[in-house]
This record gives sequence, C-alpha cells and structure tokens, in this order.
Amino acid sequence: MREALLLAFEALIYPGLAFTLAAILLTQWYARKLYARMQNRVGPLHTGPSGLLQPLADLLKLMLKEDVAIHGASDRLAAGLLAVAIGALTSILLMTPLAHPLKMLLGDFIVIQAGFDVVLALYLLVWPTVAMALLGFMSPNPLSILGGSRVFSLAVAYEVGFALSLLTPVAMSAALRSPAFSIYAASLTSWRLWTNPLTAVPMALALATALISLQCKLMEKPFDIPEAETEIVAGPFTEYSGPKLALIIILHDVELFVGSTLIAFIFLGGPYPFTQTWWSSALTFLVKYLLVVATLTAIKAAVARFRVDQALLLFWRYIIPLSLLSLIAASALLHLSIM
Amino acid sequence: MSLLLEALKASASMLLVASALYLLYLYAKTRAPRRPVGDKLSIYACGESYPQRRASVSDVNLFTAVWRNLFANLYRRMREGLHTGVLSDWMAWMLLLLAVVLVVLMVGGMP
Repeated sequence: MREALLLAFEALIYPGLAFTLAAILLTQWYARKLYARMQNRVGPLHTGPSGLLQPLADLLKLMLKEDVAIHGASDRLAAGLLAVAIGALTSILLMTPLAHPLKMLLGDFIVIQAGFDVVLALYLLVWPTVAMALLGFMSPNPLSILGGSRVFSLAVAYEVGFALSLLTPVAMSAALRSPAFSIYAASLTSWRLWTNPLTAVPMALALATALISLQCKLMEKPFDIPEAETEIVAGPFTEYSGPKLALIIILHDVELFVGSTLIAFIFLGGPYPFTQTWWSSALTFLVKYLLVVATLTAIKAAVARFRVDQALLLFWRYIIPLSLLSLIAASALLHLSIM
Repeated sequence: MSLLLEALKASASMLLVASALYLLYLYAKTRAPRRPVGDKLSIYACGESYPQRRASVSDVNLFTAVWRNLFANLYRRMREGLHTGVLSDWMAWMLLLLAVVLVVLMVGGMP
C-alpha cells in the first residue's frame, strides 16, 4: 500500500506531473528569453518579474478559451491522446535519479529500474510522435493530414537516430553497474565514461547525434517541417485551439524537458561528479540541463528550415550511420571488456 | 526487479497522469464562455472553400512516400529490373520468394 501511494505521489507530484508542469513553464520562459536575445529581441517582459509568468499566462488563456472541434473532427479523443502522450513522457522521469530528493523528504523513493528497461523508455518516447501525427489525421483539414504524414515521414529517421544514440551510453554503462541496459544505472555511471579516452569518443559522437535527433523530435528549426507555417499553416495543429492547443503546447514542452533531462543524465552524468551536498547536486544538474536547452535553442536560432527530403537525407546519410558507428564502438568496447 | 513489473509501474504512472490531465481538460471545457458556432466549425483553408467530402487521407503518400522519395534510384532500378511484364519472370520471382520463405522457416524452426 505504501509503495502504491509513493508511486502515485511520484507520478502526480514529484518528479511527475506537478513538478513537470512547473519545470516546463520555467524552461519555456528560459528558452523564449534566450531565443529572443539571439534574435536581438527582448522576449517575455511584462507578466511577472522579467516576464517569468508569461508562459503560465499564455497557458491559462488557452485553457479558458472555447474548445473548437470542426465538423468531422475528433473532439475528446484528441485530448485523451494528448493526455496519454504526456503521461508516457512523465513516466520516463521515474526511471531517472530525479526521485532521489524524496529520500530526504519522505524517507523512501521509487525508481523504475530493471535490466533492459531502456526498451521501455524508447517505447514511451515514441508516444508524443504518434500523438502529434494522429492529431493531424483526426482532423479532415488537408493541411493537418499533410502535417501528420510529414511527422510520420520524419519519424522513421529521427526515432532511429535518437534510439541508437541513447543506446550508446546505456550499453557502455552495462560494464560499470547493474542492472544492465538500464536508464537509472546509466544515469549514475555515464560521467565516468568521459574520463576514459576510449569511451569518450563514442560518447561525444552519440551526444551530437542525440541532440540533432531531439531537435527533429521537437519539430524545431531546421526540422519544423510538419508545422511549417508558411507552407501548411500549422500542420497537424491547424484546427486545434483553446484547451487542446494548450495540451499540445504542454506536450511539446514536456518532450523538451524529458528529452533534455535524459541527455543531461545519460550523456552528461546528471549531478555527478559534485554529489557531496544536495545543493551542489541540484546546481550541477540544473547547469547541465540548461546547457542542453541552450544548445537546442541556439540551433533553432541559427538555421533555416530544411525540406522534408533534405532532413531525411541528413539523417540517413550522416546522423544514423554516425550513431550506429558509436553504438558499434560501444558494443565492441563492452565485448572486449576494455572498460 | 522484473521488467514486466517495472512496465506495470510505468503504465500505472502513465494512467494517473493521463487521467489527471484529461479531467483538467474536461474542467476547462466546462469553463469555456460559449459553444463555438458558424464558420469556426468549417475547415480552415486559407480563405479558400474546402468541402469536407474532398478531405481524405492518401494512404499511398503515407506508406510509400519515404520509399519512393528517399530510395528513388534504388526503387527505379528495381522496378526496371524486376517488372518486365513477362509472366514467366513473375513466376520465377514467386518461386524465389517461396524458396526464401522455406529457408527462413527451416532456419527458424518449422512449427
């Protein structure tokens, strides 16, 4: 019973829904401010100190607007699909060491960890992609359907790239800590992989390909092809407004938060090596997380949009072969027991 | 710990969060000022008229666009090489396919 209550607390409060909602509002403010400065603009300014409450105001405004569902479009099913996709992403947070501070507060914490649970994480990571694409097909608008088909076209490339990239540190961490191929074990040991020159090279390769794949997964420039506003209005989201649009924005931001958190833990080692005190751990993780978000924002600000064929070629010619190469190198190091 | 148990925990967490968000959506829906009517319920097509009966999903684009666009050269060469229009060629390909299936079954173990 206690374990079930603890799981419910983690799912709904920390590090689950409530914490995630707070984190995405702050992340959105940070990314918008950074993006604006890179474009010589000011960004959010008037709501709250330095515009800190602007993302919350935007979400509340959308939540309280009328819920439009055009003739022939799915109404509540779309909202249900978005809710499930957000649920899938927040579940991944329970697989990371983010729950560690609960030990101080509640005396115990639950981490979802088992051998080969990386497969479960990869499955959960696909949910937002499927949700975004199906949103397009749930609306009879041709622009939405085109956007949905573009999401699926890109997904066959970036999902492969992201999965291969994530597997590299997870595979190498299997030599250092059990359970093997676990997100949690990899989060605790990945920082040690940067100290060995042999493992640092595949780590660097996989980190670069993971960042580019995540950028495409988030549909940010140069991969904002499914929602290219100058071509197809807003792609899969053209007919959505009000609370459903709010859920779409939440899903996008949760994907950014979870993706960046995974990279900060699995590739950059999370709070390590400064784990002496709780505040040094939190600060180290925060710096790494903000660094990942800043990198993604810098890519978004620096480049123009690709065409769908250019994006697919980039992935199949460079990103996927490089991520595969890093995974092969990781497997060879693991097999030869070099680490 | 077993992966199945952990997957069940993840599913429970997913269900809890999804239910909470869906309830939030239903609450927001009841707080909306009024039900939308008129043009808001018709398809938005940048000022053009687009009747609902014209809207359809093209399954051809969905399933074969990647194959045709990304591997266009390979697809063309294979089509030119394989698709001769001669019935005996088609028969040969079918026999080859049958042989491959038999080999796969033998390697994998026939039931």
